[in-house]
Amino acid sequence: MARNDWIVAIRSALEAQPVTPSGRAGETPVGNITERITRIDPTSAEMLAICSALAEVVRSSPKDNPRWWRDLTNLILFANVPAKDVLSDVFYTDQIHEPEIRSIIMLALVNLGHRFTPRELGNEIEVKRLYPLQWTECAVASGEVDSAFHGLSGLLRTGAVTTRDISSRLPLWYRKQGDTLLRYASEWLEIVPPYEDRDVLLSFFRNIGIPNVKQRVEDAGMTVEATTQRIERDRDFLSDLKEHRRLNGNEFPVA
Amino acid sequence: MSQYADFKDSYALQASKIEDDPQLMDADKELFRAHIEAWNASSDITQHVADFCHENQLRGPRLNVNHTETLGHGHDKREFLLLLTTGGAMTKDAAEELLRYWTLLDDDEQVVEVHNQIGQQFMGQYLMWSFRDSTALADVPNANLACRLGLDEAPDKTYLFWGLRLPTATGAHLPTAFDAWEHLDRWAPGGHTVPNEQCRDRYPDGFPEVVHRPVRFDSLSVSIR
Repeated sequence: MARNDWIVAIRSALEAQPVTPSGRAGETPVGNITERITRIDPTSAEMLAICSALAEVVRSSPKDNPRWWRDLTNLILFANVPAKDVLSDVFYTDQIHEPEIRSIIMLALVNLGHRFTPRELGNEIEVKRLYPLQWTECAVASGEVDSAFHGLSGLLRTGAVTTRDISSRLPLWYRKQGDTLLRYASEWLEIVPPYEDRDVLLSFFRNIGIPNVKQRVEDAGMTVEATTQRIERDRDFLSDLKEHRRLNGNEFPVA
Repeated sequence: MSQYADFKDSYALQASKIEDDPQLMDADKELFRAHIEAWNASSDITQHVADFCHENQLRGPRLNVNHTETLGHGHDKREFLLLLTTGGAMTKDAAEELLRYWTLLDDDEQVVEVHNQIGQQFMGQYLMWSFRDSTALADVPNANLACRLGLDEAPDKTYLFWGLRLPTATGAHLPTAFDAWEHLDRWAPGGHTVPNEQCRDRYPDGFPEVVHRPVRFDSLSVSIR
């Protein structure tokens, strides 16, 4: 199919997705077109046409329809189409203001290997406020693990996220972050109410062979207090550095 | 020539499956014909028909499925991951890792974790198909199960299977051709799946099959495999 035919096909699938009943095995328009694309030789001229078509669809997508963007980014990710640059363009050229859509594009970008800087994450104030879990997932994937998990502790305290919200991310976070996750999980277990909420977290750790998270953390000498102290130390160092630069220009302090 | 006659010429198989479906009442078929006559060519005819079928789901007789009965369900693996990423607003990586984690657990542990982790998410959109032979979930290997259910067996397809119990408020119906519009070539009236040719010698009969509104994952009763 030519580029324009692919544009029509992709747009049709995205329009049909929210209104089409699942097929017998859960088939959906987006799933079907994703499957078609994955069957095409990635080195073929047709794949070039698909990439170009998808770039056009991304650029011309409605700026106020989160469902469309969720389906579109799913299509890109599951079809393995190289569309990081065009998504990144749309994100960084400030064409999208809707926080939910920004959170969806951020999730897609980290899945495509993009890493957000602490400043970029900090700038996404509305995403962080309205979609804290998605923001946290992006922050963790971007390497801002301590501050992201530390932030989750606060969100759990205020009830902005629940242990159920967190639990579906635990397998990925544990695989990628290991002991760092355990340190914070130990703190989360202290924060959440006993019984049901706490059990949701505990059952994951029991299932991966860590029946007592707190004990494991204490045995390894990696308590949350130690981590918090380190964050405070880093913060102190940064403010010292700022003060030093204010007084001495850009020169780094020598220990 | 009427628009319906044109439709029958171009889509003979689909038209005959709808006309011959004993579960549909004459009034339903009459409405269907009238809908096609009203087509004004501003949209694709297949989309026009699909719109009608989507609006007329669950027209088959309601069946007596006890809420303690476990139904089986097969789901395309890619679609399952799409469900997780869409419903749970999580990354593809997180969804894949979640599924990998579940498949490493014992059956009972997995059911608890699925309830914990995605219990509030729906298993589908608008409509679900399930089969009434939960023993097959334990006894029949996945590949054979897909074949016996008449699912598309392309080499790059992987299916997941699980068991579920319908909440008391969710009714099960005998499927009609309206429910099956998107896959009429793999469907026959009568409420049984049509095994694919490759396994008809081993499995001449399909499973009894029902359609119902999608249920949440907290209705999962037999683990995903």
